[in-house]
Amino acid sequence: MTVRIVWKPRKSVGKIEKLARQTADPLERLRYVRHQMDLREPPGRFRWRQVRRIAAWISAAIGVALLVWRIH
Amino acid sequence: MSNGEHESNLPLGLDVGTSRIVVARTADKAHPSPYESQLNAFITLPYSKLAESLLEREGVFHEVFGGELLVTGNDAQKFAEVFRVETRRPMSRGVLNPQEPHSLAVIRSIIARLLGKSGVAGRKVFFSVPAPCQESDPAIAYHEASIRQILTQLGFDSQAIQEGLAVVFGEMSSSNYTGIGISCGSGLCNVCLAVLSVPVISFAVPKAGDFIDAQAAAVTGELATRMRVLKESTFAVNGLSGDRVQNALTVYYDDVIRTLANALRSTICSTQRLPKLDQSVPIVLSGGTAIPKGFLKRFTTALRTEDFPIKISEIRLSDDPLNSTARGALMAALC
Repeated sequence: MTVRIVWKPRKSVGKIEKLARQTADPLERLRYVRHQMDLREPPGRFRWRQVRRIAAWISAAIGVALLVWRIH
Repeated sequence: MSNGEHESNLPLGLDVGTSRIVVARTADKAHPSPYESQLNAFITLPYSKLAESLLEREGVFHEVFGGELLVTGNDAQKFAEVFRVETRRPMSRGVLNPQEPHSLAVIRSIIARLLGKSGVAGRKVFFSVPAPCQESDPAIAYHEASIRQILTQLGFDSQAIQEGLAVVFGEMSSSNYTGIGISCGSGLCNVCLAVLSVPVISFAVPKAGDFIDAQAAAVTGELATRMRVLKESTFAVNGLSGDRVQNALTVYYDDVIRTLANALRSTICSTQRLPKLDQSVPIVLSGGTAIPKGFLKRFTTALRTEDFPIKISEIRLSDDPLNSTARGALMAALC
């Protein structure tokens, strides 16, 4: 069994679906959907990278604030 | 031989199934029908000049291989009926049959017959491969590499596509290629849940048409080939009756249906980080094993006996179950 996660901001997916429905030809629709999905960054990696970056910034800010507070 | 292929550069879709090999192409003057298929089977005859000249005179497709005559494809079935023997199968459970020394030669012969040599180097062809039954199935890698090698030798630029995903491509344009495609073939039932054409879950269940034939033949004392012929001609999955062969087929059909429904439910339940599906998704059944009347009804009942982890909009049988995988492979090749 293979599992591939395709998580993404829901709004964009809705937009892809909406635009895909405007294409009547099944082949054109498949081309459009595949192209749009190929453009999307693998979501798991994207999300965790963002989370790590935010956590690092918050930790650094708290550390600096504590340091300044202790000095004064 | 498909001579028209020499002049065309249009992509092709190839369904390499345990029972049949089907090619899908864009219909043109040379090929008014988009599909062409050959039985994935063969018989062997002892080599003699007389037998060979007889086969040549009758236009029977054959090859000389190691002191034997191999009759492959649809002709093998005709000869098997004449000589009252079982056809031999180059594939088993969705991959090359390890018990069959002629497997690669037979597959090469049938594919070459269906596709011909590519007139233009690098003509694109997408061919179907099964999904693994367990986490990893090393036989699939060998099978895929072997088919790829055959196609490369014929001058094609080949790419593999999982059978379940091909069904999604062939059948689910109305749901934007979101849904569950199931191909119930001879060797395996291949399943794929795709979201907007991206495969999320792919797996195979190792119980399918051959299992039904073998088990029903074992309990009735008949030949498996006869079970297959009966199954394809008059059989309907509609409960037990007075006929023992019909009953045996029904029992093992029910077994396959239950196993497939349970595997689908448990696999989706056990999948972590499944994308959230707001809308309900369709399930499409295809393949020769899904054709008998009553299969769809029984599968629907089996699926609805317990809660299903995702909402299902409809469960339907493909309009063209035997060609669905090849059509999906062709669509992937045309993209």
